Amino acid sequence: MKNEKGFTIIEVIIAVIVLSVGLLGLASTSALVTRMIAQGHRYTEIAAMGQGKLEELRVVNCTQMSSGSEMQGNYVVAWTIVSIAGGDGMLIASGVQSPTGTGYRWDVFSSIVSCKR
Amino acid sequence: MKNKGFTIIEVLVALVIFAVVSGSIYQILIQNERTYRQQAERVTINSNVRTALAILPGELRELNASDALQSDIVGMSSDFIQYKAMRNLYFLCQDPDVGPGDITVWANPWYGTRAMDSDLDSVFVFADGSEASRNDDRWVHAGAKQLSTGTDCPGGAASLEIRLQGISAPGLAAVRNGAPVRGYEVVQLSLYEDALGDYWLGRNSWRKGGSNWTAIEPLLGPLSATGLQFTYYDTLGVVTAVPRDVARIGVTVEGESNMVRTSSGGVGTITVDLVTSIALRNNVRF
Repeated sequence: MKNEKGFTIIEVIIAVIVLSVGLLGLASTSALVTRMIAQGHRYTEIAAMGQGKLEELRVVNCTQMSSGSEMQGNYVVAWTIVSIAGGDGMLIASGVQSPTGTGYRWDVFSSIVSCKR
Repeated sequence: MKNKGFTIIEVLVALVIFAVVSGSIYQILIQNERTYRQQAERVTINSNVRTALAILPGELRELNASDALQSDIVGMSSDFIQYKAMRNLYFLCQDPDVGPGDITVWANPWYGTRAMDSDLDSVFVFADGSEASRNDDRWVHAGAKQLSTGTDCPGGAASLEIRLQGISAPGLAAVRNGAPVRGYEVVQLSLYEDALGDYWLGRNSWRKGGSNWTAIEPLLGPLSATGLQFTYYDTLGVVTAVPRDVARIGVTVEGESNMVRTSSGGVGTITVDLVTSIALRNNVRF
């Protein structure tokens, strides 16, 4: 009945390793939640940035609008304009390029402005 | 007879292993607790600054800063803005009484958040002038001095008589029956500090009667000490200090959390900021 005497050192080490893996898994969930909350805020920033660009274009005379792009912090903001309704309106679209872990993503926003007074 | 008990060495080894394992469990739990509290605060301020970006554009978007007579922006600075906030819309039910400066409108506002308030409200009255041209159309600016209800509208319908004061050019002579009347109050949005040292986005209104501001009421917060920044741009995107030139308002809101433990064990606050732009929709364009 050798087994009843206690645990061998191997058993103890395996138990500790299993426990550690479990605990590390637990700890990594909070890192995940932290990342997700930060990402949620980044999307809000991106939305505000893209819509802010549309607001900038909204006050510009249609004849003076032009497409372009610029850097805002880590993000690239690009915008494009298309004349619609025979020149009576302008379709304006802005896109925000943001870095992700593996590459980039684009978020696109669009609106229509009147060229009439 | 080994199974009689543990040797001192075995107990020591067991104790050390137990201490190491429970110590790291404790550390992980403590870190988790701190992270949880920090993230809970972060979620709260994220939602606060988002709320600001829902409220501020809703309030400021409808302004006409470029009005020929007087800008809708009454006063402006980097941490406050005072503006004319539309509160109700009425229509005249008879030609105005030019002598005393009375207008009579259908009693119920067509549209708006509340009825006319003579303590707070001033009015725009649409002056059509020549009906064949829109070139002489103007909004007449005036204060609403005194209100009296009656049944003076066609068919004995309920009416509201508004005694005006400080009537601007072109005056009531150019105002016709049926003209729209827009009531507004002057509202201030500002960053203010409360008695406990916290900063808030607050709102209050100008009382014409008492020539003073109403008590400030918090809209959202807490914000940081520089948590509300307005920047005013003209149509070319250049920063301006002239209310009539404002075409777009840039807003930066920075929310600040309560004190929390940081990951390193210290104590501090978390701040989150958000930037946006608001184009004034009712400006004369181009």
